[in-house]
Amino acid sequence: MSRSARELVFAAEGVTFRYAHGDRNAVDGVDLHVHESEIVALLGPNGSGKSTLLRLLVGALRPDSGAVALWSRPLREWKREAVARRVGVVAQLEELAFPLTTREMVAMGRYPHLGAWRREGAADAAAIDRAMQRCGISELARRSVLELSGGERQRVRVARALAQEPRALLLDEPTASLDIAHEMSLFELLAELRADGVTVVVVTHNINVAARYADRLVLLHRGRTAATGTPADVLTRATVEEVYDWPVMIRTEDGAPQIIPRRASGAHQGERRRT
Amino acid sequence: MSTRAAAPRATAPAPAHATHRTAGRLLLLLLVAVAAALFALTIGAAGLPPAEVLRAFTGNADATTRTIVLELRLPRIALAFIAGGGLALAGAVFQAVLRNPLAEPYVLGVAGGAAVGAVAAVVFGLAAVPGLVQIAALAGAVGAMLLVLRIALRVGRALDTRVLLLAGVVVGAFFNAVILLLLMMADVESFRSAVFWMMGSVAGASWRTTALLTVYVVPSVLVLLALARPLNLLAIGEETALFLGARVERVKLLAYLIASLLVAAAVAACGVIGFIGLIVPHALRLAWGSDHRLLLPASLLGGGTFLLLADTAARSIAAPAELPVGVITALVGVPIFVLLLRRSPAP
Repeated sequence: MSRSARELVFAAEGVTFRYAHGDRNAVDGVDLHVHESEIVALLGPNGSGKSTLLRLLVGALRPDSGAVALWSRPLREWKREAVARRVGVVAQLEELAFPLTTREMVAMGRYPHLGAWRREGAADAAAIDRAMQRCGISELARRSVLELSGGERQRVRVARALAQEPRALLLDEPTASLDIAHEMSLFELLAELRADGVTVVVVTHNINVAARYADRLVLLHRGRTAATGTPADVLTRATVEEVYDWPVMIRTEDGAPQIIPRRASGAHQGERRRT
Repeated sequence: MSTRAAAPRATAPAPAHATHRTAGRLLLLLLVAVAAALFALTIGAAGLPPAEVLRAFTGNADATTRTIVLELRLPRIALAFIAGGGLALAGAVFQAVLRNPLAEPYVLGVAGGAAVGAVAAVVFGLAAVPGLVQIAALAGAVGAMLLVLRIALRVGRALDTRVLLLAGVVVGAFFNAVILLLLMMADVESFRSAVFWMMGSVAGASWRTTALLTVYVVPSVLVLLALARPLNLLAIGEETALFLGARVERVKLLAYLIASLLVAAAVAACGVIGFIGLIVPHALRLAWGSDHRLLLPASLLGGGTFLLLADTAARSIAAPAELPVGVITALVGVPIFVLLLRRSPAP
């Protein structure tokens, strides 16, 4: 099925946003269209506007100009609960004010379905258990979240987003504190979700993993789109070196371009490799 | 679709159990509250035997006994329960909104404002007018609340709870200075009654005060209890709460205003009774966790019972003299709290 035939999930048109004390636009006239059951990875150097764009997409920030629509309806027409019933977000930073158990934390994903008064029913409990199972944290149900390792905590937060039973998932550096196995299994999970029809937008610094799992990459540079398209289109040596301002080599593994950053003194490393 | 295929696991507690456990704990607190109220009815300077107290209710006791039980002890018990419950509930709400376990009902300057109002009324010789000290205290409290809110909202469009906390603390400090200034101008008699007002007491209880407070407290309590789930979300962060569908700004503003009004009413009726709003919600968090669906009603019942028992002790330990109830709440509350803190894993 061609991309244009599928439903448009996120549509950002020329969105621009500047923080109150920012000296330039954090996001500067970006267009982004994400279709149903696509994995789109937002890449770019630190401060390139990836996280800001993610927040704009879900209405945590309002654009200074431009417009955002979810499922072709302007974002401002959406109620927060309605957004949360369809879009799960795994943000970067989170600090607990009070201790909670893992299950209590994951159960919060049911809030948009329950509101203030409705009781947690069998369907809710099933969604919570399923989400914990998919993230491999069922055994941690009764543990306090504060006692968990960074990686476990991250999986708890992904499970909470899955408990929302969302049709789209936004993740901001979800694998920043994960080891290789957990990082890969998270991306495998995202691929599974995509097969189930879930749309995924993921911000990451791991270009190589993104290149293997994402249908499309969006490379941001100083708030603007530097390149967008399939991994092979975007990850050319010229583009990557210009955006990241660092020399790289490109190899193809598993049919996906993989970036290998060079040592600062290329000659020195070349000598070493020859030996 | 594989999402739907997986069967629920048995490791997590079923939600029905959690609901039953919450109901069980609240029922337990309710029973303790009723028992405490019955106990407090039989305690007092008059030394009435329980049978005599019972007869006051059935109408077979003499007029003095009836007055003591129905017009003195009962309204006082009711007032202590409502004020204590309101303070503890407001404390739990402030802790959640400010995301700060050290927050308490007076941290946002409401008590300071109430005290300025009450002390000014006393010092300027208006205490003789019935109800005026309470009205002045209420006006001061509401004024402080609006002032703090205005400062906090001015800084940004959204209500920044860190700014709110800072604004509350500095406004409170300012009011303290005003109180000291007022006390400097007071004569010995008004100085004494102003200081006694600030210590807090439910000795002035009447059915009128209690009824007024009840009318005011019941809707506030209902609104705050309805905010329990959004407050749970706030505990994991404002942005996360937003992502999970909470209307964060509305929840914060509503919780702040209603809890402040609750504190204002309690302080106007009883003066500044300390420690309940900090210790009761905290002790309950340590014992039963931080789910506000349990914590908020439990704080209401627990705080009410605690102040009721503290007041019973305050009026009976050195009878016929009365100890300041705030002294009892601190002297008894702090050791219990320390004990709980040592028993529990670090929060």
